[in-house]
Amino acid sequence: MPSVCCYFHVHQPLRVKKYNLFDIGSETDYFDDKKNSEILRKVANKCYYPANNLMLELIERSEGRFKISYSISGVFLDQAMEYEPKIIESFQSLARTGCVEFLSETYYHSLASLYSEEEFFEQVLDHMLLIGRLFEQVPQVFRNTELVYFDYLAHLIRKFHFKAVLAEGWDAILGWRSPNFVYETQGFPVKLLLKNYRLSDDIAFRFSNKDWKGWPLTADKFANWVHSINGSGQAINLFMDYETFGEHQWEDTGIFSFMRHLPEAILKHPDTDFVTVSEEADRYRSVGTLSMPHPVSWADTERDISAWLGNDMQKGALRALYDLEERIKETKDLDLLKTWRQLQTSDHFYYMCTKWFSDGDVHKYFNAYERPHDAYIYFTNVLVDFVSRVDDRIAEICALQASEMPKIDFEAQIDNLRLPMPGIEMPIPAVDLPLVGPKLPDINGKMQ
Amino acid sequence: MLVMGNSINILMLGWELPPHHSGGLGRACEGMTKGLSKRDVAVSFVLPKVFKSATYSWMDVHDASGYIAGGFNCGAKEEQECLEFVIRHQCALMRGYFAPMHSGEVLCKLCFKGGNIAEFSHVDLYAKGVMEIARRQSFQAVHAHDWMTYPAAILAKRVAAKAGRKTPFIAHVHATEIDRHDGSHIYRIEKEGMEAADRIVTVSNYTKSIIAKYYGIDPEKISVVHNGIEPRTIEKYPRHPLKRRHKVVLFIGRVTYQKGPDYYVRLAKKVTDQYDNVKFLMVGSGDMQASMIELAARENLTGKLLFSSWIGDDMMDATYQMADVFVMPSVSEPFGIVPLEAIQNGTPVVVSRNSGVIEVVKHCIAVDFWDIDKMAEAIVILLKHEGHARNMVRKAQDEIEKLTWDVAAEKLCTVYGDAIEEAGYA
Repeated sequence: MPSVCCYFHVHQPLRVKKYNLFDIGSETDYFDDKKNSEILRKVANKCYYPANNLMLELIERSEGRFKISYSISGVFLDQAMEYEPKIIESFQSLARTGCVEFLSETYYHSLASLYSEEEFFEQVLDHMLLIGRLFEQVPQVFRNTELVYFDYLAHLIRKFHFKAVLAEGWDAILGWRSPNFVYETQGFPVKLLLKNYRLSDDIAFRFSNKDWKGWPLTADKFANWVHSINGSGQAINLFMDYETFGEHQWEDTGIFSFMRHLPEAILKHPDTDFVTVSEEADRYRSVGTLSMPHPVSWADTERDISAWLGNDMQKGALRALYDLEERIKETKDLDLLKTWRQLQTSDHFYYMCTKWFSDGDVHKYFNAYERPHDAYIYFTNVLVDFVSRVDDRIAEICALQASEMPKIDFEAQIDNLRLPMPGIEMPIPAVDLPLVGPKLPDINGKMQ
Repeated sequence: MLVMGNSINILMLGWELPPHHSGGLGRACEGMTKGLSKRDVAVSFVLPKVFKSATYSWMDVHDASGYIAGGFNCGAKEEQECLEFVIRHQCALMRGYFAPMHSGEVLCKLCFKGGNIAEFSHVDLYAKGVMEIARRQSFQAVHAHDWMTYPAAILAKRVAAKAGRKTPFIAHVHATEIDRHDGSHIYRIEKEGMEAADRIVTVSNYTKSIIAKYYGIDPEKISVVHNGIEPRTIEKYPRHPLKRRHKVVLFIGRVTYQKGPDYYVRLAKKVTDQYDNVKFLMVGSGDMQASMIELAARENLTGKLLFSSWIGDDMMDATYQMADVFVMPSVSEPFGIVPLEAIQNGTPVVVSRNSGVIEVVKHCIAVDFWDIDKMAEAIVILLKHEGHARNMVRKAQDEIEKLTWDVAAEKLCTVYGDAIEEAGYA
């Protein structure tokens, strides 16, 4: 009897301003607040509010048999709390139904897992604390940014004792195997839940495509496809962006009425039910081990990380950003740390992508700038300004007594968290790094 | 021949004038005509398209598109759109001067209809407009700037000849295909224009030698008139915050093969590898900008070499003043007005030896564009020895004070006089 697992990803990046040469040194606000708040409000009205209301309605109508899992990035939650707090309330009322599970991810929707273990760990922890504070749940299942998964990730998350981790059910990895079973990671054993990208993309990408032979897609037709897997699978994982509802697929495509009828159509078959991600991990035994030595993501036809690390601009910008880690943490300055982390959001690098040929349309749709090169120019300018602020701070700190040093704190307030955190070994944050004097380069010094 | 007093009556053909200009050509035409207006020369200037927002008080400006509307197979509205497009959307026509189109920008419908190459159909449209003007008025000489206007000048001369007037054609060469090196057929138009011209004016001896060598033109026919730069009071901008910790090296120009941007990136690599408190800036757009950005990222110059697309004239001085050294590594630069502007702003310059500007400014460092080591050394010397750099730029400022458009206009008047006289004998 196959279960259906609906998992939605909720995220909005903090888009960087058109930050030019003359902003360097005078403009410390790097993000386009106006645009970001406008987009958030627009998508809230088109997607988050109507979709949340629909999900709530479906859960109530099915008397709890319809279940959903969400991963909501910290960057999104930050923006929602600032610009549109009602979104949070709306998700909180979903959380109260008991049929909604929240996943763990990196707070800043970053690629830290590829660059820095320490940074990755801190971001996952920050996000976990935020989810705990807002939704009174401790996430049990992890999804990495853009579903990036590689074998070593299982080691990176081992301290959190997750039940499962999500990944793309990509043919090149699976070969003859089916994504509709639960697998186990290579090395450190955690269950792997794989996205059924065919069925997921039927909704997320092809729903409104009139050239597609499945068009028009009805709930009954889709349920039929799901039921046909009966007997040859444990769970069907429908993973997609939450913005599919009302934003990527506009309301007039009929996506909401499709979703309104889907649970009923799927539950018609007595053997089928809905599960959340951790229920799926609890219920099904792993059928085998899957190894993905190289990073696999859910993006583009390549399903690799080339959308963020495919060209020299992206590599250069990411490298320059992560090279700052030690110095940022040396400042023990929470504002600088937060800004640095906000700059890590994968979308900044996605905008620099030059793979126009196979996935250009999707990229253009999601790009905030005219050219990928402009994204690089603005990002680098921001970085130059940021580095000089970090250098200033380090110089200030050096002037201070060591005893007056501010203590570093976590993003979220641990006091507010009423829940026990089973099995989490508290990390050693960057508090006690030895204070080293700043290494400020000086051309005159060097040249004389 | 109609000579009224000692004033000269010139039909001048140009492609652009500020504020709607893309580079040095427009500004040179403006300075030159202003200088001529003080010397009792009446200039009738023909532009492909005159925009209402621009006024030119010192001369008559004609709109070529106004004379040709209706005279073609296609509708007048279509043509009008087309000519406006030339200027506003930076159609491929101005390849030498304009940055090419960004991907996604629409192509001019008229030019690409029927497979015509954009540039030639625009040049032809312009020429027909000029012919109309030449039919209605008489001039003592036709003075044409660069290849886009040569076919028009040849036709204008022919029209005058039909009416029994001997009107010499003076071709003014601001840049050649040899400098731009686009590998296009523009060379042929240039050569035909130069051969048809009665006199040729070049902006430097360097360009004169190119024309003699690559176009087979008799050097006797060529006069050199260096561009000028008007002395002006420069607003002093506050020190850019970047300079608290860093020395700044600047490149301003179209990012195209001719300007040597790739040498600049290698230069940035060379210098910043040794001195991590030097920032390089590359300001300007062009067909090579994207690949230069990628090259810089590949060379690990993220945050060390900063880019900016074309900036407005109002920000130019602030940008020059931001720099400790200005670099122009052009592969071939007929004149090069930007180093002069940098000097006006008190920034010392390192320029390519393949440039005309070194004929008029001695107080700069001239290096072969390909010699990255030498150029890096020159930059480092200027960054290191501020006193020396200040001295050099002060002396350069004295030099360019004498380099006014008035001087250029005087020389031009001599050329006009000679040409008109020669035409009379012929």
